[in-house]
Amino acid sequence: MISRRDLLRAAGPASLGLVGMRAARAQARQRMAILFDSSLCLGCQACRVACQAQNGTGPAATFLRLPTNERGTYPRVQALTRRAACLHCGDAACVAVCPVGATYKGPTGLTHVNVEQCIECGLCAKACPFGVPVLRAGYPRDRMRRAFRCVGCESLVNAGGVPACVSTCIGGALRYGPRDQLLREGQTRVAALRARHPGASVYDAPELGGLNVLMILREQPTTYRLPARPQPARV
Amino acid sequence: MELTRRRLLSTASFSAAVVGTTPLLDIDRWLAALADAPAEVRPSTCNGCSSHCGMLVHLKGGRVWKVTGHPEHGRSLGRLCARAHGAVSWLYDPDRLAQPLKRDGTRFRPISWDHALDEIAERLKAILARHGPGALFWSHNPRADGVLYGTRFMHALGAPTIVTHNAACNTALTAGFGAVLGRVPEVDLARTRYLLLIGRNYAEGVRTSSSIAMGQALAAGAKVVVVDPRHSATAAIASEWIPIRPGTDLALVLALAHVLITEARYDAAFVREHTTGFEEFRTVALAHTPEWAAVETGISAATIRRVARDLAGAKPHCAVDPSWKGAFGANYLNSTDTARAVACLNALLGNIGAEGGLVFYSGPRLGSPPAARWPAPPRPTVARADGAGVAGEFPLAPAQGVPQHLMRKAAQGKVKAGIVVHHNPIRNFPDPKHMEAGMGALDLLVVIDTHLTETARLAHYILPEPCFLEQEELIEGIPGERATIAMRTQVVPPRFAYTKPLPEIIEGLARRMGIERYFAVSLEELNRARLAPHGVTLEQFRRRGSMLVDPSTPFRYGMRRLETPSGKVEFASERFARAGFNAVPTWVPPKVRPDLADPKAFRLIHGKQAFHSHTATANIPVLLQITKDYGGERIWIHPRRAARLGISDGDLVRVTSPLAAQTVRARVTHRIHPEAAYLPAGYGRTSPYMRTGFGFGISPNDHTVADAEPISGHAMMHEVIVWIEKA
Repeated sequence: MISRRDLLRAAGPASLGLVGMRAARAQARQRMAILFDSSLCLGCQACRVACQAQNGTGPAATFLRLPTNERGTYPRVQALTRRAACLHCGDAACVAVCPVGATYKGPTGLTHVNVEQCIECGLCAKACPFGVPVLRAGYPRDRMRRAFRCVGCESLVNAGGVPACVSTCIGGALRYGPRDQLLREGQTRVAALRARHPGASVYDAPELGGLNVLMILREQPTTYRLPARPQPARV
Repeated sequence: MELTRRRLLSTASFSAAVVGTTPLLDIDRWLAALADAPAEVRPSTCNGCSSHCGMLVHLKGGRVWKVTGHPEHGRSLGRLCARAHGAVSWLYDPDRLAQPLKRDGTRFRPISWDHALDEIAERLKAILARHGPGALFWSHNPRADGVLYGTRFMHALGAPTIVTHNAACNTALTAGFGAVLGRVPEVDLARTRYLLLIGRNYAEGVRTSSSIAMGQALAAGAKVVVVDPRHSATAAIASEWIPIRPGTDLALVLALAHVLITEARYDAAFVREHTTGFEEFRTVALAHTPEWAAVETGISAATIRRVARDLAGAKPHCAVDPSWKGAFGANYLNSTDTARAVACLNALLGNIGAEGGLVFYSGPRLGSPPAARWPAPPRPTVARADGAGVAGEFPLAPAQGVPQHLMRKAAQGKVKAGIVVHHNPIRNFPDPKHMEAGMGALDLLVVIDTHLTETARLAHYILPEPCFLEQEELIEGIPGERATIAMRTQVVPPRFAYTKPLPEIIEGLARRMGIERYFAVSLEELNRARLAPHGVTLEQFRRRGSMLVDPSTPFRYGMRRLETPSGKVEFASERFARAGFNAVPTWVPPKVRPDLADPKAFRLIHGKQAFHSHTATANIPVLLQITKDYGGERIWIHPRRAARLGISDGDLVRVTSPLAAQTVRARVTHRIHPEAAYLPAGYGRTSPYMRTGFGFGISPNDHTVADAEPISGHAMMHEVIVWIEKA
């Protein structure tokens, strides 16, 4: 069966319509990113549920987890929440290893997945430096154990829109925009945070071609159980 | 949006009815056609909590696909919380009520609307004739239509007793701030420089616009200090967490006032010009030193002095948050006085009406039908059955009422009939057995709801409403710097033919009761009248859903005449003194305290989570899954206490009180005061007709004694000691 998404890819931008085409062209020159500010994340889960509706993953499975890591002892205790999901590496190992092109880069630089093409090989899961993709039957009515991971809200961002997690965020912790700009703004925020959190940083990974999900962390990456120097895994 | 066949299959499990109406019999051709159909977007308002945010509902093939925030609504501001995304699945919930039901012994049998309304009206008439209008109550979690139709219906019958869920939420706040400032203000959150949150938890007790504003304040460098026995999700991103012994917030607030006054750091000019009764309050505050408060609260005197000085340094662009339930909405014996003291503390900071302080907003102008066709029924003359505003019972209780006292009267046979709308008091008030005893003793209980809740199980008649996405409701006005006018629209036709919106139910009852003259104007006419001042037609507004307009009184900073008797801030309240209470707030210890020598004894405290609304959303699979993924139903215990009891993180523990013994898993965490155990309040559904939430987790209400605080009649939700041991 030829799906509508195959048709779109075969036909190219012409089928996006005039507005979509303009947006796609404008963005093709600009690398986009999501900026996650952990110092503002409420842990409210709005992003998770909005994502589930947008991407049809059903109630049982989610692309977005927000694990909280507790540090210190009463009363000097910290609860550090991070976004555990695809970080959309600039040089994405998952894209490189996918033998069928089911995982690919879009014009915004975000990584997308055509789950219908996924052949359950699991190479992306092995290659990911953050252990994000899992093979699971995460879509309702689909028994295949496909690569289950953030798909980058392809239709939204290619039409010039904003990923579903970002547009619903009620804490001001998620933003979407040109990567250069968000990186600068993230560094400004980190400079302010350093007064109280000397270890604050923007978690980026030059080794991986930079991340398109930039995370503002208040403490060292390892306290969030993130690798200090993430390396692409050899597959 | 491109939709592949597999995405379609995954996003939508199309109902047979939709399939049946399509001329295409080939499923692939049908899905392909649907994939090319543009998503349709219709505006409405959320029902995930009582904030009723504006939402845009996106449909595919007539089925609700997703929701996004309405940008032109003062509470959503274009965004939506988790509950909104989850709440739309109520539409397709297999547990929804589809037809009116009548009790038949221990069972329910279907009944037609005509028969149900005939029988209810007959029984109501007989009860009113025999026992008078004081024997009837209306109980609801207020929506715009419930407020208008419920009040009109009750008053037309001469019945005054209208109660809400607020006695389990913010009644102490309403009474306390009402006494000092006339009503409860809002914090000018986005512009505040120093925010003291005493129990207020913006991250988990969510109103979207407030969470957005707190994020803006934090990003702008405001200092946010959280006083809470628990390190809440707000504390996790705040500047500082100050744990406090539960139930002693009043001691802290009095000591903060003490420091401001003794160190002459309060706004003397504001106090001189805009307040009354300062001398009396000063006398009380001087008696409550930081050293004294340190013993009560467990917060050092130095910390109390530092917070007071920091507040003073930021005044008037600072606030001590009034909160909703927080620490003093309905929690402790001293909560009404805590609310009063917090209002007084703000006045000392001179922040009433100040930028970044406490502000009062007005709502929009809403038109009304001509009085000749829409006469207001006379105000009832008999006393309220719940004792609110009644001498000798709860003279200072706000109109929100005292439902738990009402149920005591019902169990005594002094109240005979009740109509419960969109509300589940049996699950959401302390001691379900107490509430059941009252509801069960009624001669007539009518429950109007979408689900067969714990309260509905005791009803004589259950009248099913459509889901909020299936009905147009009364236009709502929301106060703000810019006011909001919003309307719930009919996004999809009702799934069930035999559901009726509340206005139709009440009109039907009113006709049968002979009070139809008060309901001569249709909902549609009411909505047209409400819009009339704004030059928008109902047809246009149905497509718009929500709009921002100028409030009826333009917002500006500065002090205005308050709604107190004197028009000023009243440190001392004559009303309180006349009713036999202290004119100024003074220290009152909590009603119960855990025995610190008993290793098993804890004060049980509870709170909200951002992804649940009370217990109403526990039946939503996509939201309950969050709880399951994160162990969100677990009881929080301090590691030192847990170690003494041999409890490890994740262990099953037994929670015992004189009312109940239950098991739940423990979260052993440094984020909790050692004397307290914290239980999220959204679980413990006992109605087997709500299959997703049924039997999952436990509720603090199962352990809390039904009681009413003497001043405002709130339920004292945290005045409960439990014993915890390894199960």
